[in-house]
This record gives sequence, C-alpha cells and structure tokens, in this order.
Amino acid sequence: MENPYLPKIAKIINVKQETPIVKTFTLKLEEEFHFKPGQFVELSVFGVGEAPFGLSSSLYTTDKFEVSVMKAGKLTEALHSKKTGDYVGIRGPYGNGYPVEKWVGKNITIVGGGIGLSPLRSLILYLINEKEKYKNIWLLYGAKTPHDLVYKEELAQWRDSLNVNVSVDVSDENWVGNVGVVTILFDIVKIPPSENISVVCGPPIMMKFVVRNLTKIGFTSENIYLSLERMMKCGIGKCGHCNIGKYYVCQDGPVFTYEQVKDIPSPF
Amino acid sequence: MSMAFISHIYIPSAFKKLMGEYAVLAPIKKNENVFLEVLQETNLDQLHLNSSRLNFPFKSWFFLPKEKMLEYRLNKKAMDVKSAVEEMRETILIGLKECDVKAIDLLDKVFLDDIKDVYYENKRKNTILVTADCTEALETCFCTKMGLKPYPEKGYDLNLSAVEGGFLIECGSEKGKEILESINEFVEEPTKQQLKEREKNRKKVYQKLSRKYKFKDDLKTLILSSTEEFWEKLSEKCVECLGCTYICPTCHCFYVSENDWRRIRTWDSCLSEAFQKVAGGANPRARLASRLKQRFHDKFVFFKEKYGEYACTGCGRCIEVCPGGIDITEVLKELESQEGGK
Repeated sequence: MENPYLPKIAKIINVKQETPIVKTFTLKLEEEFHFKPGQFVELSVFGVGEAPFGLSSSLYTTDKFEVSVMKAGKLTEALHSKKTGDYVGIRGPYGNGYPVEKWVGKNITIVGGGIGLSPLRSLILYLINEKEKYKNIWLLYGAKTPHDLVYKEELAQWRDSLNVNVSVDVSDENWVGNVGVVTILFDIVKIPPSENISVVCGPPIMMKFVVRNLTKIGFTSENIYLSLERMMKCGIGKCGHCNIGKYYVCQDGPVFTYEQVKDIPSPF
Repeated sequence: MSMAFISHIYIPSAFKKLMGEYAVLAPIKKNENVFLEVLQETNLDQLHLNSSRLNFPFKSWFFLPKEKMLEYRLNKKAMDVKSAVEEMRETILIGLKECDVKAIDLLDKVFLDDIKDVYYENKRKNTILVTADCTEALETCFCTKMGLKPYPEKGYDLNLSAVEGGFLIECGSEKGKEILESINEFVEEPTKQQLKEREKNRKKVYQKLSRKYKFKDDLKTLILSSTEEFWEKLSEKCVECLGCTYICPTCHCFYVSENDWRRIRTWDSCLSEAFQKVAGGANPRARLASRLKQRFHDKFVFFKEKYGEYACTGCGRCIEVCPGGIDITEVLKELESQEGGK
C-alpha cells in the first residue's frame, strides 16, 4: 500500500532572504519534480509539523523547485531557521493549478499582494516563456512597505516582457514609485476588461477589494481567478479542514473563479 | 449454505472456535457499560449482543481517535521517515447495526476514493463485519427517515437475526460463507417458521421507527432554505463541546500534529473555533453560528453534492450526547415549519 501521507525527503540547496520575514527556499528531491503553476506542496519540518506552501518557481526547472515562506507561526519560524544542506519533507504537488490552456489568446491581468506574489511568480515565469500564446500581460503588485516587496530583482527583469506596476502602502525616503494600496494601480493603469483574465492572490482583505475593483472595471466573475488560502492538514481531501461550500481547497482549488465561490460566506 | 440457525447453547463454542482463527472484537458489558473488547475465554460470559445500536460509533475502530501516521529517525543529517501502517490480524467485528454499516459505507467514500487513506484501508481490508437486526428502536433513532431499514441488507459479511432460541445467520460475502463453514458443526438448517419469525420481527421494528418522525425527504433543499438568523438562534444552545462530531459515525475530520518524532492524527471537529484558523490569523468561520451552519450543510448539502448521499444515518447519537439539547430532528422539523410559513 502506497502511503499518500508519507513525505519524500528534500534537501535545501539555497536560502534567499527576500524581506525581513520572507525567505525563498530552493529544494531538491532525489527524483525530478513536475508541477503546474498554482499548485502547492505539503512541506514537513520534522518534529514541528507540516503545512501547505504555493510553488513559486518555473515549471521548466524540474531538478529543483522553490517555495517562498513568510514567517507567520510556529512551523514557518522553524523553517526559517533551516539552512542550506538541511532536510525537509515534501508531499505533492497538490491542487488544480491555473488553467493556462484555457487562457490562450487572451490578455492577462495578474494582481498580487505581499507574499501572494509567490504562486503568481510561477505563473509569470510560465507566461514569459509562452509569451506568443497570450496577448498583453499586466502585473499589479502591492506590498506594505518597500522592504516587504518580494522578488525585487526579478520585478525589474519582468518589465521586458510584461507591464509591471508596483505600489507600497507606506513609502520610505528611497521609494520613488506609487504609494497606496494595490487597488490605486487601477486608477493609474488602464486595464481593458474584454478578453482579459484576471489572476489574484494576496491577503483576504486585499483580494476582496481587488475583486470589487475588477468587477467595477467590467471583469465577469468567470474571468476572475483567485488563489485561496485555507487551513489544511492532509492535502488530499480527507481531513476536512479546507472545506468551503462543496469544495475542498486542496483538491478542487486552490485556484477558483470568483463565480465558483462568490456565494460562499467569507470566501477569501 | 448461505443461511443457518445457531442455538444460544452453541454460541460460546462457536465463538471459541473463531477466536482461534481470528481476533474477535465484540461488545462486552461491564457494570452497565458496553465497551468493544477483544473476546477471550475470560470475558465470553459478558458478551453483549446488542438489541439496538451501541452508544459509540464503530468508526473508532477503522479511524482511531488518535493514530500514529509516521515515525521519524534521524539518519546522519537526513531523516528516515517510516509509514506507521502496522500488520494486523484478521479481525471479526461484532455488534454493528444497519446504521453502522451504512456509516462505514459513507466513510469508504471519503477514505477509499482515488487517493486511499492507508490506515483506514488497512483496517477495512482486515476486518470482517458481523451485523445484526435491530430488535428494539431507541428513543433517538430515526434511521428510517434517512432511507435506512433497521436491518442490514448489504455491506456485511455475516448478519444475525434474533429468533426464538437463537439466531439466524445470513452470509453477505464469500468471507462470510467461509466463516459459517468453519463453524459448521454448531449450526443447522433454518426452518420456515424461523424465517417467518425474522420477517415479523423486522416489520415490527420498522413500523415502530416509521411512526416516529415525519419530515421532508429533500433535506438538501430544506437546509438551503435556512437563514443566517436560524443558525444564530441555534448557536445560543450550543456549548461547543464538539461531542456531536466526535460521536457521529460519519464525521471524518482530523487534525495532524507532531509528538516526539511521530506524526499523529486526532479526530477534529468543524465546530471547534480554531478549525479553519490560519497562521496569519485569518479565521473564515470565527462565529459559532457559521460553524453550526457548516456542520448541517456538510451533512445534507455538500456531502450529497460530492458523494450523492446524505452524511447522516439517523443513528441519533448526536441527540443523545448534546448537553445543550440540540436535536437534529427538531432542527429539521423547525426548518420545515419555517419553510412552510414562507
């Protein structure tokens, strides 16, 4: 009997400090690792526990993969203390991922908040590689302060392929960009709603307001895709924790259209 | 032989014989309390062949309240991770009623779908189910309202029906036949009279149950008609003991934690405040009313949509256990009266 709860051992081969509380871990399994943007893994810190994290690297890299982790609780704190050469456990990939094939020929508007850019980075790296399949791509990204922006160098590189717009809620003396919550970018950048798919990931309150803005511009609820976060234990539809309505976020999600979840109380 | 009769006189001998071949897990009565215990020579006289469902759910055998999932061992710097599925002896489980086998069937849908839960699967594969007709209905039983009968027609290996002087034994599987074969010397051909008696008994209990409650068949629509105020009001009665979810034979939620280089799962409850709370602090179901609403929606709406059946067998254990006096049948009846008043 194959045990779906049994993690595989992965070695940490690089740790990058993104912000004071976010680190990106590059992990290597003994075998190749294949996944789709938007999927997640269950990561074990042995002796502490297991939790789900979105995959943030490119699907074209199969000999290693990355997760970006914000220090938010006991497990993430323990993970942050891990160094290159240490081992963690991995199960997955799990979840549905973004239906990128369905979006071929369309414009894409990616909206990220804080660490929410993590699964979106995997999507962006895919879209950059498959650029000719899609029309215009916008990235609207917001964080609390300039220090809280993740993937800073990459944001600059992505400007070659997509329309990148960044704002911070609170600026500092060195910041020359936009200031305000991410939704102010909708006033700055003209986003055409037709033939446009929006992909949103961020804290609950941010998603709520972004959806409101997108709807106002004219996006239909079928064209707004959300990556939802829920408490998860098993990742395989048994433990019941991530249940929302008739869905299990771990299996039916984490990517949902707004249409699928808009009638569920506190969907974000 | 697919049906046989065993006299009360031979029951201890038959069990003794089976105990040599299998582990036999059966209800044992001690000071008015009934527990599941491994049947031995020493407790055979306390064997309690229950007339109606027991007060605990049989899920506690297939899906333990606390269960070891993995064991780790530090190996140089890396970690050896071992699955904690243990080899077990083939076990005969005694004392299940129709509502219990139905609950197992519903748990199978969750634990044995395309991704199999190995711990549950291991137990399920190595357990032989011996069920029995209900000869009494409890005050809280409402199985017939959930489309069940007080006697099993499938899902068992052997089923017992009490008749004058002993039990009729019916085989429901090849395994059941094999077992019946092995106690061949203690059984005899059933008489027509005994078969008639079984039908009469079954009818009697069924009618007793059918009379008890009358509510709508389309419970999904009924639950969907509920208002937020309804759950707010109901939440005033709930003391959040979580008893209804632990005692429910179909509730399957669990929590996973680590203890001393072991990964352990424990039963969890969607009524618990921290059930959906994430490390960042967000809690989508912070209000008790929203959690009660979730529990009822999961039983009668979501499970129905996902697996095609209600996740309730009408066993009534949740009614029995609730210190706040929440009665699932009353909840449904009240919703019906509200819906009718619309």
